[in-house]
Amino acid sequence: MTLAVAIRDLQFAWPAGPGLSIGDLQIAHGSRVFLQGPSGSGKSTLLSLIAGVLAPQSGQLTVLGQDMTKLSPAARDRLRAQSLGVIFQLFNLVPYLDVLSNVTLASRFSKSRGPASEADKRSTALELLGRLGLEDPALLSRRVDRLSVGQQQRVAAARALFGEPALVIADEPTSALDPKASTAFLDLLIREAERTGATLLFVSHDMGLSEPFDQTITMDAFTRQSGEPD
Amino acid sequence: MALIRLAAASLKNRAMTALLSVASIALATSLFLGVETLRSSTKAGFEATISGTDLIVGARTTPLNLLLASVFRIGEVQAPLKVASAERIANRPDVEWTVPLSLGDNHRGFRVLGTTPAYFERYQYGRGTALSVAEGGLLEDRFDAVLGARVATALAYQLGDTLEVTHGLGEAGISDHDDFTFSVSGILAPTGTAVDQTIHVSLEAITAIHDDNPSRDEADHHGNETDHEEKAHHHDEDGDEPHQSEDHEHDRDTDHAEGDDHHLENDHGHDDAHDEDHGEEHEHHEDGHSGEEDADHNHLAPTEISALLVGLSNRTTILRTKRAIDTDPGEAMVAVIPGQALSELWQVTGIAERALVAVSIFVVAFGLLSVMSSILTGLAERRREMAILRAVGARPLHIGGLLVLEAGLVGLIGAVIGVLLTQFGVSLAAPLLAAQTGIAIEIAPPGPFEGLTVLIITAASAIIGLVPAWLAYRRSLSDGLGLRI
Repeated sequence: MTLAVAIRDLQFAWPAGPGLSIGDLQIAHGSRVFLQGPSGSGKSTLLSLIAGVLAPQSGQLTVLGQDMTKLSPAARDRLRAQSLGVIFQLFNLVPYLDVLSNVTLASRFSKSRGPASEADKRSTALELLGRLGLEDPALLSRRVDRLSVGQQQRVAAARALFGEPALVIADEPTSALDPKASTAFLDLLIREAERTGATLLFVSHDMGLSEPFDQTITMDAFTRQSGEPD
Repeated sequence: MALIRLAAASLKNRAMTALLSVASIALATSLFLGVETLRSSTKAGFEATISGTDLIVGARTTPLNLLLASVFRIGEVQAPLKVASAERIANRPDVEWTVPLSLGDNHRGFRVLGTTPAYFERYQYGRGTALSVAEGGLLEDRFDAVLGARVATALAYQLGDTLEVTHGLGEAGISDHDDFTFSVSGILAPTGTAVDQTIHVSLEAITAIHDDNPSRDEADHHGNETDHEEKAHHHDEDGDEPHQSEDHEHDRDTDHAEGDDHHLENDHGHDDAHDEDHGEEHEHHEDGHSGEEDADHNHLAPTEISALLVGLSNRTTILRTKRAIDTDPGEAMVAVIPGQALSELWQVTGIAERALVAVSIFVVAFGLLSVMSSILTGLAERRREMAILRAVGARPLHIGGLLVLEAGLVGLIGAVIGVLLTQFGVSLAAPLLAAQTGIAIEIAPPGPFEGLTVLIITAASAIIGLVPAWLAYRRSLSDGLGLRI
């Protein structure tokens, strides 16, 4: 079984003091993992470590076969641009770019993300948005702040899924949506991940959403010094 | 490339703030360039006003005063130069030609210059361009007037029109009967110099005006009466010894006395001052023989002029000639090399110029600071935007670079608009300057200097963008994907 994420004896501390300590965490390639923990439990720190924005002080961290402790910050940024998709809780989009530019944003930082030509990028984005329930082509050139929150989150999903990244990280993406929209959004996300074979790491405090996932990890499993803002 | 598109989109999104920043840079740039352009083109305009004249000679005053008054018609010649002295200079072996200038009168605000026809041959401007006649001819009759181009257009005069010349420099003359009627015999082509603002008449005509105008300087006479009486006596004994500095007034009074003589001939009544002037009248006969002789066959021959333009047969003797004139025993005179006097002027104005340039540089600095402050202000609310960019793979350097680019773009757009504004502003200012000084400034299309200014302001703006860029860089390193809403 290949692993999308493998962590062993990882230590991370913020300069201010608090930190995170993970003995063992493995996420299988292509699996759907539900990461549960209350706010302040270090979820965002863990996601930042996996996404390569932060580097652990010690221990092993392998993401998509890359030893993150050996990669330079620039190489980690490149890996993220190439192979990761990240969805946040809210405000996922650059406000001054239109929908198309937002969806294809990662491809501006990695040539191997998505198709090369602008026309192909456009049609790929349009297809992706269509599968996510945003069929209107006129939407592509619309400013993102003119969209509803539900639409914005689907554009955010399209931005994360564009170019078929191997690992998709979603940090409480449904917390701003009502329960019905939450379930619908989750379904879309899982369906897309399955279609491309991407590993999905879904973070939420709401255990009610954990049902369609292969594996559930709770932050309680990881030792954590208090004080770090989440 | 991706970053430039992002930066442009980001600026467009904050159009209002960005426009304010662009406007402040544009105004600052145009102030700087405007000061620079006006400064250099005014200088060039002044320097192009006279060429081919080696020396300007006048009664002793500061070189600058003589130059400004005689050539640029700014201010007045402080004291007249005796024609006898002018003739002595003209007869020097090293002098090729001389042209007398007599100023002090005006017509509707334009200066009247009494001179000889040689003026139109000898006076040169720019790089040795001679004056040329656009319409009509030169001074043929005693009461002919040749108009500068601007005089003709401003007053809508045509050939054959008549105009009256008033003594003195004020808009309104002293009284009607002082006026002389001239007829326009020629109009000069525009030169972009003070010549355009000048009415040229014959020297004899000027003399005639002054002859018929005994009331002028009456006050002077009264003020100096006792002086005169005493001096007159000394003078007889002085003989040909060099004149003392106080003799300026004295000489002038002498000439009045002569003028009064003509009144007698013309059957004019005596005026108050006249009786007291007998002492001088007497002295005049002793002192001014040559003038007296001229007056015998032409009573309008001038005895004094304002300045004398001098051309040398050999320019290498210029300093020797100048010294000889400066130390002339006959009259206290000064010989001015135009270029030298101008550089004296630039020394005087240099302080003000540097102050202006310094102020405009400070204004540019303020403009740049306002760019920085607007970017810094926007930084807090753009924290999420930075986190999103990080999440899609932007490196911290990209984040910093984005802000540097934004600042640079504001600088570039502002500076380019500033250059255009300057062109516009100078084209508005040029006619005003021409109306004031007669000096036409050239409005050149933006050149290397403007290019360099745009480059420097863009670079300075980008450098100033490094401050918010550094903050954002640091923050994006420490923020991670930690997203605080």
